Amino acid sequence: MIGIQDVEKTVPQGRFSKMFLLRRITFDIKAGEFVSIMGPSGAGKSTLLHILGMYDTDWNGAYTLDGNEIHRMKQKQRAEIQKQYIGFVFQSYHLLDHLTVYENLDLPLSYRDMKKGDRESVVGDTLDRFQIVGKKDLYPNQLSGGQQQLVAVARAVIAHPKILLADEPTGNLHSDQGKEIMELFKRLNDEGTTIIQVTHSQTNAEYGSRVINLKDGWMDDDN
Amino acid sequence: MALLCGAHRRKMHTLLLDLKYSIRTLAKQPLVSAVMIILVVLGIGANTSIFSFVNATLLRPIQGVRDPASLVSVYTSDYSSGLYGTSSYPDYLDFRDQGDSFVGLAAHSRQRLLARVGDDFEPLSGHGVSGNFFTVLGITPTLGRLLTTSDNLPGANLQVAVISHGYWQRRFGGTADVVGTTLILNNQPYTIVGVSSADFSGVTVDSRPDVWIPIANRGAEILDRRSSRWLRIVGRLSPEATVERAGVQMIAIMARLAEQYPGSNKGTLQAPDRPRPVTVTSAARLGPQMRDQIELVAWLLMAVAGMVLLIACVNMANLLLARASVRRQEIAVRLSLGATRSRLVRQLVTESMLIAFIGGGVALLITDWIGNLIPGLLPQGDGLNLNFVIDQRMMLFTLSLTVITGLLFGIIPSFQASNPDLIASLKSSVEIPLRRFGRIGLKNTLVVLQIGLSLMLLIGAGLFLRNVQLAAGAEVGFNPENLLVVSTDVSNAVDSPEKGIMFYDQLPERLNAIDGVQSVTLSATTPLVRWARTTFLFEGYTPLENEDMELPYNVTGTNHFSTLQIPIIQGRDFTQRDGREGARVIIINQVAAMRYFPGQDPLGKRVYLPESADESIEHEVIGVVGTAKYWNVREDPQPFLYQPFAQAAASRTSRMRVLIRTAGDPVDAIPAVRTVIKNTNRNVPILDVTTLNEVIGESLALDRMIMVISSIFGIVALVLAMVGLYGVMSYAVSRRTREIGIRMAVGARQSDVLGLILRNGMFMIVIGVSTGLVASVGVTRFIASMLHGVTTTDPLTYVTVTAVLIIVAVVACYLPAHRATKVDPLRALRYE
Repeated sequence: MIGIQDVEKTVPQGRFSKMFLLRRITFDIKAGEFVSIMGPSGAGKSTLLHILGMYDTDWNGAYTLDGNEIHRMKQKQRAEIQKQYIGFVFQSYHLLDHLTVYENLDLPLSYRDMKKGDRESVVGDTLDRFQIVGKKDLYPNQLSGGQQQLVAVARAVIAHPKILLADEPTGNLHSDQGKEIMELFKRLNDEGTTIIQVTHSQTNAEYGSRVINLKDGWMDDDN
Repeated sequence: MALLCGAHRRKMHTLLLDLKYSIRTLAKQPLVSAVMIILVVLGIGANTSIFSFVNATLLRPIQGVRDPASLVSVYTSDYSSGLYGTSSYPDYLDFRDQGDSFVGLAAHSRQRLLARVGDDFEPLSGHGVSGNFFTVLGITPTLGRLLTTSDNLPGANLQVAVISHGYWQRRFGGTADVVGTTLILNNQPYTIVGVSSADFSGVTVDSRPDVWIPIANRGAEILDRRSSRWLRIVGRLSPEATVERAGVQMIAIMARLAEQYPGSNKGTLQAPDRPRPVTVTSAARLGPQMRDQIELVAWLLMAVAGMVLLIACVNMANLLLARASVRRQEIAVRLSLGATRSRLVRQLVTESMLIAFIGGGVALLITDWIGNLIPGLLPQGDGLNLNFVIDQRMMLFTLSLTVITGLLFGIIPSFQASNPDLIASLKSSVEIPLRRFGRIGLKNTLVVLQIGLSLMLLIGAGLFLRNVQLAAGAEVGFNPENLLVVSTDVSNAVDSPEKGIMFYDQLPERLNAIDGVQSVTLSATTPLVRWARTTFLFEGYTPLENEDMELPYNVTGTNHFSTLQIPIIQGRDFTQRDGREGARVIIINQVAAMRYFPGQDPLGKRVYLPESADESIEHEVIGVVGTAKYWNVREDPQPFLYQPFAQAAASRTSRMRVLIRTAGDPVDAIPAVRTVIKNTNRNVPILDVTTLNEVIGESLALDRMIMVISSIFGIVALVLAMVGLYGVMSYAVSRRTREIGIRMAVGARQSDVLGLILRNGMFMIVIGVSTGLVASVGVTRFIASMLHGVTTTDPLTYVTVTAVLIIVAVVACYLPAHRATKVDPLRALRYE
């Protein structure tokens, strides 16, 4: 499903030199896999995740997604593919604090020009599925961290993306809440969603089927 | 079609959603939102207030008439003072009867009427009108009937009156039985036959009529005289006619009249051998001459208000940019959830539009209030007929301005905000500045722009202030201090001209007896208001080709020059000897003496005044007096003549001003003066009481209005710019708190921190002031024609205004800089 070939990412350092954040990264990910990207701080994990999520477009190499050559695409085409394929979960949830839970879930659908009636039904289903119907009118600051991340995951998958990217999804949660989120990921993966997470936690990595290790921008191993 | 409707519905729904979220965003930060709304109210309010003036004076058609677009005005040229003069009654009749471009042509003339109310008199704004006046304008009565052609026919009862709706309410409390009531006007009984419609308040901006009476009341003497031009003409074009065609036709008629009546209808100063020009224009409440003057003022004030709006928009844009920095994470999340940039721009612009619409709505409400204050700043004359109302045009202007404002301040921040550094924004919870704009950043650039613009406005206001200051302090050639001007009219109070003369003979002596009164004199006109003109010829002087020998003159009593403190250079003042039976005498001013008797002794020389078309009366020059200001305080010295009261025609002596010089405040003498006049003849009405200083003030009213409004706007602009500067500096300080903490932790002193922050502020001030000064030199050239005695680069104004702005700006910078020095390094280093 995902093909990454010799991807490199640099940032300028001084006027004439540059620093590599990623070097010759190459791997494939099949549909339905649950992949964890691991490595020490500064290894390039989040950078790689942002490239996969198409938030970072300034890199070299080849990236194909379901046969689409992302590296050749213009911004607009890439945005369309992103909407269709990618859901993203952030470490610090990034719920919009002046919107209710319901409105936060509705947001990605409204950006996809879905009819109001259809959106209501999808948001209703999602609230049901994530068992947060009772919280739909609350604002993010009225929820615990775990509940916020639950809503964030629900928001990430509400538009039925084929791939869910997560950047340290349990980094701000205590262990019980982290476990719940990881079990939710597992369930989503079982239902067919491809999941790629960045994590420092070996325990979290064990929920997945494969680990890609990065070190100083290079792929250390892939197993 | 169904698809289209679906897409349309979706768009509407999205818009409503954006609106809902915008309301919530505003409510979340009530203080910032309130500040932004106030900025919009100031910016839009300044413009709508001025526009309400423009609308009332220049744009609103004549109200309460049928189809105002087809109404025209007809003007006959004056001899020497322009195209747009009044017309004579015989000429009006010829225009009316010989022209077929009009459905109807009506004549009207202002007429001062005194209504007797009990023992007292009430001055009314009266209009004598031709019988077809109301028909031509298409006005319907509220009560009774309006005047018709039969009311002006020979043998008709001329003592009928139609009163205005306003006067009906004011004087008669709107009672239904007013029709048939008798109204005593100028001591004559008039029967009220009807009340005009409520929405009709006359056809000109300079008078709001209370009463209309038949024009035939003016008497055959003036009605039959073709050389007496005193009527305004208004007509309604026939459906197939145009203004141009009507103009051509009137010119042709005048050409025929010039052949028939060359004495009255041929020749102007510029073209003595051609027929008097006739001009037809679309009817407007403001005559063409005054229109030009008001248009200039209106454009100037609109430009000033536009600059205030621009400053407010720049300020708003800066606030939105600062807010966008805070919201960049929200924006990044929205982008990551699939929002397109255009969608985000739309959302952000919806927020600005919401602020703009709230501000625009409030601005419209306060305009209604401010609109009622503006007439107080205008020259009052005989009563202003201005309606400052919120009409459709006002609504449309405010709506357009609101949309433009919302886009103006919202669009740049929206584009900036919708393009954040996505990854950095998603990663960090620390506020990250938006992408920089050039070397000094967009926010700083906008502050520089505000400083420059506000300096320009302040310099403009300063120049107008100096303009009024110089005019108010200008030498007028007489002493206006402690001078009371009392207008009286004996025409309807006495039954013979002799009794009128006797009244005015007795009055000065009686007034002189009042405690505190130093000197009293009579004057046919009020200084600096208006003067009669007539043709004078001078012994031994041959006028040049096309030289205007129609000169201003006054009819005065004895002690005129000592009362006004105008120096007598040669000869003597008028005395009791210069009576009706004595030799005809005249006094001239120095300019007249030098122009018409150059190198000669003017005393004893002859001056000729026309008594009729064929006869001139010889007058002897008995004195030469100092040259004063006669029309306005800024005029160039001009020739002027004085005729003694006792020798003037009866038509010039029925209505006189009594000038009273007092030792103290002249206002204190008013009750005693009223009593003396009443005791001399209880039937003589006092039309007006004022001081000469007030008259001078009135003559500068338009300049003062420009000064007051431009000063208010200048101060508003200064405050806005300083709020902007303070905001940007505070923002910079809060953003650099951590840096300041580190600097202090490694040994920076408070003065180092103060210098660090102030340097940035001073940089903006220097650039802003420099650009403002350069722009002011360029832009103020456009107001050069409105300034008198002060140049557009007046150093005093530039230096003073720049110094004031710099001081205020430094204070605006100092406050946040001082706060920066109070940063606690320990707390700052924990700050994220």
